[in-house]
Amino acid sequence: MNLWNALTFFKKIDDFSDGHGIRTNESRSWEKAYRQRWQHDKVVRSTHGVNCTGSCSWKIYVKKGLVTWETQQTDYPRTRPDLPNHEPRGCARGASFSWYIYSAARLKYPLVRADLVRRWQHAKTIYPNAIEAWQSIVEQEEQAKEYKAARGKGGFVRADWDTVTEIIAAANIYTIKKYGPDRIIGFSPIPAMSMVSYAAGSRYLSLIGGVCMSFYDWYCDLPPSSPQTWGEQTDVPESADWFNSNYIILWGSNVPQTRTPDAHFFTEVRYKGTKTAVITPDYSEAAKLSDVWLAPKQGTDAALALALGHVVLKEYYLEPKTKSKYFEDYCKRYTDMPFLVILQPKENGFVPTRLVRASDFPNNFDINNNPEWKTVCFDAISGEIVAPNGSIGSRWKEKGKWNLELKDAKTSKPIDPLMSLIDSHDEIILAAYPYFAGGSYQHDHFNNSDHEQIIYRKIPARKINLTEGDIYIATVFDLFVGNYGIDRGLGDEKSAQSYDEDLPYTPLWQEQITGVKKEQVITLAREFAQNAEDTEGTSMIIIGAAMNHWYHMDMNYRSIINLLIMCGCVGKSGGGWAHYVGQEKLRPQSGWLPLAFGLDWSRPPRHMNSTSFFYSHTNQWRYENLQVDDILSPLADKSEWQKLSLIDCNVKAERMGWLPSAPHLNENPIKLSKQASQANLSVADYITQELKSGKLIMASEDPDDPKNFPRNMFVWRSNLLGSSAKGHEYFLKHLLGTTHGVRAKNLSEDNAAKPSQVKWHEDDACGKLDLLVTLDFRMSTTCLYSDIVLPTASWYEKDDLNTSDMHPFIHPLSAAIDPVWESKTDWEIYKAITKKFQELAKNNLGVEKDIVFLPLLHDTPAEIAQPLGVKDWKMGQCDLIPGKTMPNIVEVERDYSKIYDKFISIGPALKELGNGCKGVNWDTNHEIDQIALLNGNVSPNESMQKLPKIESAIEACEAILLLAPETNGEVALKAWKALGDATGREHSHLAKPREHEKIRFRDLQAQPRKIISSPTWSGIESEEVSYNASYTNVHELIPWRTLTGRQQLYQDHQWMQAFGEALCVYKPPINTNTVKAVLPDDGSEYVTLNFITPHQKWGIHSTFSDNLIMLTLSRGGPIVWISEKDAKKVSVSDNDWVEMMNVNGAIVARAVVSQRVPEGMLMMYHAQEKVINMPISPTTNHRGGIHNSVTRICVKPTHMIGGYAQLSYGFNYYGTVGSNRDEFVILKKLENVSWGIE
Amino acid sequence: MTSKKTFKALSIMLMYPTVEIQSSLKRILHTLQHEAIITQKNLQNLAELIDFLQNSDLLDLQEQYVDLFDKNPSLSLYLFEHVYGEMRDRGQAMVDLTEHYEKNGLSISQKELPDYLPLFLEFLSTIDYEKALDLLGEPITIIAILNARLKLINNKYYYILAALEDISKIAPDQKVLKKSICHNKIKITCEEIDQNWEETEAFATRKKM
Repeated sequence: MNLWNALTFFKKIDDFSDGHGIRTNESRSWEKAYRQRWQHDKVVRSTHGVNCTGSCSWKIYVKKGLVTWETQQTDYPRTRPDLPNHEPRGCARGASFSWYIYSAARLKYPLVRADLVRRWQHAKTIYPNAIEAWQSIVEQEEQAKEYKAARGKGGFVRADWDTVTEIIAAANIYTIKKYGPDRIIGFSPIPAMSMVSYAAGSRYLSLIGGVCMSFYDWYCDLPPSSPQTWGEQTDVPESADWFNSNYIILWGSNVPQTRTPDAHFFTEVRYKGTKTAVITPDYSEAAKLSDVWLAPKQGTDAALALALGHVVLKEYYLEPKTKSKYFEDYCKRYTDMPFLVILQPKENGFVPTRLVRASDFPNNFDINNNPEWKTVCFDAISGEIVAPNGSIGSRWKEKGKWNLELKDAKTSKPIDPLMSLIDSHDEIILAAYPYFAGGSYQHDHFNNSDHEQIIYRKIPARKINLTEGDIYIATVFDLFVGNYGIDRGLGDEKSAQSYDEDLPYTPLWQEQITGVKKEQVITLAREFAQNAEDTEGTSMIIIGAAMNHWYHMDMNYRSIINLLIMCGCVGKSGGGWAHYVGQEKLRPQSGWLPLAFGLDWSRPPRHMNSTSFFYSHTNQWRYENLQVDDILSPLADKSEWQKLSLIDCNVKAERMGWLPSAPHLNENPIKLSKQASQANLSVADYITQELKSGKLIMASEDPDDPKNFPRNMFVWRSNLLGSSAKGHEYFLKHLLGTTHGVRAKNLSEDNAAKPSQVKWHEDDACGKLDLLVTLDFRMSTTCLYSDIVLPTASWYEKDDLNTSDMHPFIHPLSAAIDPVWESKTDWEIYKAITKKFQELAKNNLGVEKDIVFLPLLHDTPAEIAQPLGVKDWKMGQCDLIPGKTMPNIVEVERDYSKIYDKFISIGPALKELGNGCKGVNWDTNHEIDQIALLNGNVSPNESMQKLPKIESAIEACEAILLLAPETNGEVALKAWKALGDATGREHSHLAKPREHEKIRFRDLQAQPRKIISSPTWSGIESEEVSYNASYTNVHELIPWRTLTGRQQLYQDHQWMQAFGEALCVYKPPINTNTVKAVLPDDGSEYVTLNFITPHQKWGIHSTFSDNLIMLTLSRGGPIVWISEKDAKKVSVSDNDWVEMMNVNGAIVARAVVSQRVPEGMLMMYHAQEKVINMPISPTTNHRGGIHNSVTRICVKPTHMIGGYAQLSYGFNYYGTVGSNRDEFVILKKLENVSWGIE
Repeated sequence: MTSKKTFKALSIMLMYPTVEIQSSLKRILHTLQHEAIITQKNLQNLAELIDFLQNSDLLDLQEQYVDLFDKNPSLSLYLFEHVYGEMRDRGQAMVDLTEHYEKNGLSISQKELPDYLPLFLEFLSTIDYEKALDLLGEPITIIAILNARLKLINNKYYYILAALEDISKIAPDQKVLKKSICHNKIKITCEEIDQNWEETEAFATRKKM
């Protein structure tokens, strides 16, 4: 309108947005602070390879080659509609990591104690040959004692890589020559957190014949109840599946504190109406955000869980009106409840013994293959006894029958397994049940009840004709109901008709043990079960360390597993057993195994279960005061167990091939193979002959003979001595030979009975290790005690892979910067050691024949080696048959002049023998060719052919990713097909849609990737359901890897019966007897408390606990939590210094006096470092100790069982575990705090 | 421009002892005496330290060095350890310092951090003495704290730091100094921990210690 006068393209600058915005001209330089804050040269994806299930992807910001900060990645693949995403992941600990890199705690150079350097330099002037130089140092015993005694006392100097690798290689070569490769051991935990870093050390050890030590069992995070019930190490739902649950019990777990990045699912699920109950003795962080909190006395949880089971079993199985059809149908299909058990007559009734097998019938029930391993039940359709599909006998040497289809294996006719004989019994008999919490149980801190040791309850039984004659049998279900003490209208005085009777295991009975009101128990049981009934199994129990770290953890766990199975929750989306402690699922496991254990070059690798190893070699057995008799079932034949101590049981287990052994024998295996060939015998024949004659013995029969000492030890990715080493002070005394705080008397000093199977030496063996090498990026307690400390790259300085059980993604660690100072990645460190080893081995070691003792492994045909009864060849009960009555004896050729060449290339064995995992094997030629194309070939040695290269860590990652079904769809398909051959069913539809997917390392750097479904795991990755364990067992009818192929509620092994654990019973905490001998007699105030060691808030184990930010959030040093009442008894106020002690050692810490803690309990977060603000203990006169200074390992015989279906050894799968929560300490106020600094 | 080799000499003396360092100690003493920017008393002390470094067993010296400087955060030779500790501001501070070196035409050739005191001293030896003195004044309170802490445990290494304190035109902040050494000797004090953790005001420059 006014084109000329008005502006067409402009308007005046004044205000905008209706006057809400104005324009000014002031300086904007202040914005620099913001802009600079977010300036960076690059952002790199990495994670924290710490021993934590978080597995959170992070953005690492790099400026001028320096890491400046990190923030959480938020680009995880989305979940499906109606399900929250996995992010934000991460926690305060991870967010404070970047300053470890440059912190004063950082290890910058290789360190060796000056004392040892001096000896080394001197020896080298006399012996130019490094091996002889090392020999001269360790063989002068008195002098060697001196450098060992200096451990833990500082005195380090920096060294160069050439010197340290020379010492290490020389020590290893000397040890192999003199004592054997099985005297070199290595400890590193949880490969999932940085797989290639783990594999670096284990590959080196495996190539030279060294021993890889287990960790999951050692930490006591392995729940043996899982292998017992499911034949699976541990398989659990991902955290997102919590959101699919409609009722969650959180039991002995502290999700918000210890599973921080996943805790949001636990809170989010409440918004959709899910009820959450927390069961924990203390008012934990989790207790605060739940609807219901039950607080049983610590260590008595099984009593509570059995009472819950009592209610569910009664109301949902036995009461006609409220009976659940869903529950019964589930148990019929997926549990051993219908299977038949032999009843052995005993004075006043019958003792349930083992499951009936086809072999018990005339003519083996007309079953040819493995009749001893085929279990039977009644078929309701025909009324006959049948052997259904799926028992473990059909897994081996047979095809197509190993499945859970309800069919008679002989005729393939459909069957309907009969759960109970209540309507078809011949007789009501009295079955004997052991009871462990009666009058004979005496403990100052735990209650017993007034019931007999043996309880006879009425059970419907039938008489059947077996080869042996007419035998009484009952179903597992009927025995199970009897075990819970529920009357079935049989007029049984020992079984309860109402919840108000004081009979095991009623809600009223548990009140006196746990302190929880019976009404709470009944309500919780009904709600939990009703939800499961209404929703077909979406009730879940999240369970944690507080339940598993007790000596009788199996009872805690099985009582809960029983409850879940009764409610049909296992294998159901949103339901089941969610144990999250210490495992961190290594998802591409079968791709990683060959790399980690050198399976591409030689098989089998040497594995050892750490708990038994350390029990033996740190001499904790010499102080054992728990007698086998203390824990035997009142029903056991005690004469069989006379003279046997816990270590004796372990020795027997090793002899019979149940558990692994390392060192194997009291002689160098390389020498033995030479002797065998001189004698013109095969190694197996020669060794069995020598064992029989007694010339050779197992090393564990004489662990204090210097020939049998472990000599060299590597620790990497771990703070063994500062964290997981139960019996810390015994490690210091016996393994290291340095100052220690042990005050216990050994068996000889105590005039106690000595073991019958182990040679006793009057003199203590101290300082067994010649060399302790630790790789770490910070000065941990383990580093402090090591001879050589190697600075390793931190998690922002290396390339590696990371997975977790909490989410289904695989993602990388990436080198944002090069390793700082003189540090190197674990992969490069072991490469350097290997290179030096190869160099020095020439002229010292050639092509040698090593002998490996292989236990009867789970998921191999050896798992069905010992069907009926226990026979020890040393006792003359059977002949020595390798792989049957004793460990298999395998000769392995090792070319010590090619160790490095082998380390960096993929050997031919994978093409020759194929690859596989958990009993499923497939051909992998194609993948090996692909690795060669991707990584290139290498011919490291003129005499060697061209082989695929794995020189760099990324090349090693690519090899893992290509070999594993989880990251290579083509392999997944092959794996499912291989499993299908055994089950006779078609499973490949689970991976078919992702057949052409191949996940590479660079893909992971771009974004975390969801893995592909594989038969290695029992859950699936899909768009319909979240990952949950046992899903494929229930939905694909793949058997569990147990005796019956079903969830095994009845454990019928002879040793299980002997210790009264055939069915789950309540077993109160054991008496460790560690305080009485050292109670103060000077009239000073003290209180004895149960020593509990939960995961902490300001660290992930010991990592981050020396970080200034975390220390500031905590109290800046070691702390323990005690109740107000206990504090009052010893006049302790909050933040006072206190001392805790018992015969194992002593600890000094500050007291946190809190209402959170119940009376009688003391909590010390593990693992607080000895290197941070640790005063002197007046009791031991040296630095106050760590949480494990007051603990000692106590092994359990039922964990030693082997060669018996699911109860067979597997690395980190089954074996003894290092429990520690039954421990007590004396707490006193510390009046004068001494720092030991003048 | 006149730069002073004295800084280079002190830098070498503060480095991890090696055979090479032991063999150059004579030249170092000569340089210190020749340039004479250090008072006579401090020169005498440094001569005593040089004598000690020269005549001690090398492994003993190395062991002592690791015990002192590698293991004790409170005696760390990384200057920012004492300013920022494990705070994330340390990253930007290191970036700034690196840029400062670069402005003077130098980049770091070793795997070492820009705030490592011997590295910082070597840098001072390359720039104009007056400028070096100004720059030295910035971390002088930290140098004084290290000096005081070493003196408390009677360790001769304090002579080097005393000499630096002496050269500096700027005096250390006595208040901070006093707080940092009051108790527990070489341990970090609770107040220091608190101070490290205190939130600073937005955009306020962090209080230097």
